Amino acid sequence: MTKPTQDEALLKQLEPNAYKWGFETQIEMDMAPKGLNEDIIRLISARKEEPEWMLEWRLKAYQLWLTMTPPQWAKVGHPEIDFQDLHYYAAPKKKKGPKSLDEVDPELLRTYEKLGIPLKERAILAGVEGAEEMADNHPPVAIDAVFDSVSVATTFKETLSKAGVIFCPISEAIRDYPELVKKYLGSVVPQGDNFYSALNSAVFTDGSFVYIPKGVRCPMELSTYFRINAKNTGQFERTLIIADDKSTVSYLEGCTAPQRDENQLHAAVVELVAMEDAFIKYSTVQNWYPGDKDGKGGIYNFVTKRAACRGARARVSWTQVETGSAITWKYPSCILQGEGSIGEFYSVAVTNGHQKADTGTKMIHIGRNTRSTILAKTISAGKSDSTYRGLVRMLPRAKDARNFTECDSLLIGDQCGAHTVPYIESQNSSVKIEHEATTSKISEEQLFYCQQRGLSKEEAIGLIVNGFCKDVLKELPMEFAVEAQQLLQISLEGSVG
Amino acid sequence: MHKNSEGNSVTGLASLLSQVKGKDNHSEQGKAIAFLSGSELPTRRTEIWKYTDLRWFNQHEFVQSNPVKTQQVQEWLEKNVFSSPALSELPRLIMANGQIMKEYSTLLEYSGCQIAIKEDVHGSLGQPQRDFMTALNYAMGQQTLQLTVSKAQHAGTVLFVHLGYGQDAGLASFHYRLNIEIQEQAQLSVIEINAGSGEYFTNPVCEVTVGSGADFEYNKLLNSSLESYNCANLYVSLADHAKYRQFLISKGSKFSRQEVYIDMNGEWSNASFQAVQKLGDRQHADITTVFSHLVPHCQSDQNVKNILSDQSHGVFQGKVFVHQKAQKTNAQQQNQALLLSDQAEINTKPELEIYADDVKCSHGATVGALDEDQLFFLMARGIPYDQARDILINAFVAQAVEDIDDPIAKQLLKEQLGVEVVEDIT
Repeated sequence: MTKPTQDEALLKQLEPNAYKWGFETQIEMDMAPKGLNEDIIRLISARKEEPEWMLEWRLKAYQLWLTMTPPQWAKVGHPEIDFQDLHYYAAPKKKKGPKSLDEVDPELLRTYEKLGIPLKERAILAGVEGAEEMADNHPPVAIDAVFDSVSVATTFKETLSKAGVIFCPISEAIRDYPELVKKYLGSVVPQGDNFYSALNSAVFTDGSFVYIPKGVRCPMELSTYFRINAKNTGQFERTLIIADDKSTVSYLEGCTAPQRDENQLHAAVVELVAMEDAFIKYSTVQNWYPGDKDGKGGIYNFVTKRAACRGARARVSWTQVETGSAITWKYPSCILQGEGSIGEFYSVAVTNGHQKADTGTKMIHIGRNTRSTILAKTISAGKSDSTYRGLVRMLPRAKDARNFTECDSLLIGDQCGAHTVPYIESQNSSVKIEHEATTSKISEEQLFYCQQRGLSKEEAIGLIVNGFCKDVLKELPMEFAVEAQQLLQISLEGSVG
Repeated sequence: MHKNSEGNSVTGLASLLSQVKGKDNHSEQGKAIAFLSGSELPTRRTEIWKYTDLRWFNQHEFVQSNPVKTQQVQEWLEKNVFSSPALSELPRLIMANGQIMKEYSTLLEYSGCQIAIKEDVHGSLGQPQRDFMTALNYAMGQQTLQLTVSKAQHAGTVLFVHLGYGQDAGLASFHYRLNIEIQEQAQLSVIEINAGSGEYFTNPVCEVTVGSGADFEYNKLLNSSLESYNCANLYVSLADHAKYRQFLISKGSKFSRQEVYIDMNGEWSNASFQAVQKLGDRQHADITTVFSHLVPHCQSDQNVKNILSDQSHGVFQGKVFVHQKAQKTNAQQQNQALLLSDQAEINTKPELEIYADDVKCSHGATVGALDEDQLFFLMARGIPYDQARDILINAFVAQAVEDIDDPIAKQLLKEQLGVEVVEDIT
């Protein structure tokens, strides 16, 4: 062990935990008044130029929400949220169709620059016509950028539409593809599913809509970038992805928020529908502002993500790297309905400082021969708490279903907690369920080995943690894997002690 | 039997509490009655009752039990205890319908330990407000049996039997309490048998304090009547270097719930819990444990096996809690379930809650049917299907009782598992 004095010096050097996306963009905003009532919902619906049926759908959700109470069971603990003290709609004022970069609000441009989105792509993001052709050498990733309550821009629409793929903000989809939206919206996560999904259904402002037609392999990665900017707002985005028979899509989600003293709410709903032989890969790098070193501020991330494998042999794979948010409360789930359908969940959750994460998955096996794999890696440091909470349920019709679960926790320091709460329910004798979990710390031997070869303690920990998470990180698409590795390193800075 | 539908004003709890109305309330009992009067029956929405439904409780009218027929007790003892030379020689405590049967209880004169019977319910570990069933025990119990093994005394093995007998009208309930204190460097081994006939409800609470360097082994056979309801709460506190081992076989009861709370309060203490739930018909059995590592250098392991046939329902909720101070903890938890029928159901929740970093904690859970390959292996060697099945089931459970130190207990529990496995499957 190193001497405490050395450790203290090291700790001091690393504080405060740098959150480099913590800046705020000064931009003219169009905001709805604070509070939540039917008028606000009507206002959101009107701003979005929504049809009547959508407004009714929202109002129904609002009525359901009024009858519900916030869930208390998660091991997170936070002061009560005043749902009337939030702006439910905030959008940057956009001039109509800027023709060149000069016309775009320079503040908005600077935001993208700071977020590290490459120049050419940025041109597209701000809505500049013709920039798409300029982006010739860039890896093909189509991006939908959501800034507070609205989608700022969606790239590569043309290329995608050639393949028949629909990728647009959900507000556009409601207008342009009402039949598809009507059919699938709320079919996986109904309005009244839980407190936050009801809230989201009532006030959701934007998000992405993806439809992959039969037999199409989406020609590029699709990506959404969420950014909360305005003060006192909540972000409620809604994503709906439908993969029709024999189609394939890979979708990435990223997010950041400015550094603030107060807590902000993010309550998203993501619905995936996979039909026969379809494959959806959904990857998330969640990097909301986690609060400062004393646990002040940060995002409350209460998210409902669920996938339905409706057709035979459908496959859904969730991969998530959770490093941000003051509180995370998130269980990407799979309903394995189709015969032989497959659900996968790969997760790395890192908590540091005063962060609290309660995350995991639900695998509901309904159909015959369904399979699920859960691989969850949890790393706790500082004064944080992280919990893996997962459910594996085998229903009587799920003959020969199979599940394998592995949860490993790594503790760094003696002030943090790591918890594992698996729920295993089986009503079927032909199924096989295996669950294993371990909790340990980084071994002195491994640290010594690395340090002896000239790595600093920080680097050594980074290396060991990356090795610990390797099985999950390798599931991420290339572009994200690198980012995720760096994120892990940054998140754990200042945790050695 | 008198049944009330839910929502009717005479609920199960009300009929129970009416039995203690107007009694001179000792402080603990008073607290418990107050707690119960102000609380509702736990439902499946309560996290720790998530998988076990107590609705039956409100569907019964609870009544005072009839006096025990000595004849019944005599017959049971002759058949099950006196016939076995090993068991009949043990100092024994015989209870029937919650009452101590003094004429059969040789333990009362046993020199290896001190017995005191107190005419109220008291305890130090399980508080009246701690949970519903414990509170019920405080409220309804009439006496506390205090068993003490003095310092450095090796008390050997004692036999504890509780027999329950149901009656025609209403549901009789028995809320007895046993407090065991094993002082420094002392030793005690207990064999407990629960048996009976008819429909009744037992709700004992047992508290065990194991002193520094002391050794306690607790072998329990739950073989109650298949119409009976059994809840049992066990609270254990371990001092430094104390050693605790429990073996539990649960196969009786229509409904059972065994709660085990172990607090490791002294360094280098060691707790081990091995259990087998072997269920058939429409039985429901639940084992809920909380192992709390509160100081450094303690070790615990839990191993729970379920063999479920017919429409039975097995539940295991196990929790390992490691306090921030409890560095160098070594905790292991294993839960296995063998489903022999498509209507059987298993719900398991092995939980880790860890606040210390220098620990080794792991848990594992498996659910499955008998392995086809293993069956094939045996059958290819000329062993008929039924026998091959028995061999595999035996192998599955044998391990759970293999480590019992006490030879008499080992023999008894093995017989209870092994012999019957062969009988009721062929």
